[in-house]
Amino acid sequence: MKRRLARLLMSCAVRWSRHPWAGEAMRAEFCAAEEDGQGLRFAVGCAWASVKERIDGRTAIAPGWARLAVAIVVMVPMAVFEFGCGYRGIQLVVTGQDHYYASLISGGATEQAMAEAYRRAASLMTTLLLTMAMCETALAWSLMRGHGHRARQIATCVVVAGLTMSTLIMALGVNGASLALYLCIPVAQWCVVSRLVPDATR
Amino acid sequence: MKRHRAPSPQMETLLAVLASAPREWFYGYPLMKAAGLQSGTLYPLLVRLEAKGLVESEWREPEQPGKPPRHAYRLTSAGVALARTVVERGSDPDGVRVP
Repeated sequence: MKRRLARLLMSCAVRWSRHPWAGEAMRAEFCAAEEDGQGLRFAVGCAWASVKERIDGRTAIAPGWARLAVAIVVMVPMAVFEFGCGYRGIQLVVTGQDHYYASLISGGATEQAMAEAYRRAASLMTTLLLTMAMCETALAWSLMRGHGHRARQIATCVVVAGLTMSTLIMALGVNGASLALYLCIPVAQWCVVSRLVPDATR
Repeated sequence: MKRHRAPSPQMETLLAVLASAPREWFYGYPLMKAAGLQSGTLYPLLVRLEAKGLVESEWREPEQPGKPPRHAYRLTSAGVALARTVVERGSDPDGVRVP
């Protein structure tokens, strides 16, 4: 059983090896290791080396699974969310109607004053939201393509837009969750982008 | 700009073993045992050394019939020079750069 497992692992190691001679060299030395009673240990090491080599190669050549995951899990949903908010903002600016706005003006005098401020700021906030949404989309694309310099520039734009948005939200006192969303996520994104796609032009 | 990295302790050990008999050929498994390395560490190191021109390799006919040909390794002159520097400056905190 142990011997079969060792041979199976060795076959996998040889098949997975990307180097022209390493796989066959490992197979030849496996015979010596087997005679020494170290076949399984040797095969496990070889299989691990081949898998690691394959993963490293893929990360270096392709856009990278990590970049793809961050783009799909973080940036695309953020872009969809911001486009959605932007669409609601357009509705508010154009027709003066919005559920959130309606819920604000149904309250007391303070809420009505806030709602008026919110309505006045709506044009700027909508523009910012749509800008952020477009930037997020471009950022996701640049990240997937591995364009480091461009991705960092776009991420910086998102941070600036997010800071402006956060300042507006703070001034309007809309809510803490929105503040966290527009302040923390762009900054976190910028940090992740800097790590995933180091600037190759410098 | 070409990046230079200090050799890892495993690389240093491997170079030291290969430099102990610079003109001799080593097979993978005995080399692994002599250097105290795992197979998963040895082969990536050998691949890297060969790619940098520090190690030369050749296929050897098996000693017993029915066995596959074995791959043997030895240091090139550049490899010998580097191995000597690594061994000599092993305690130098600045280390030695692998070209």
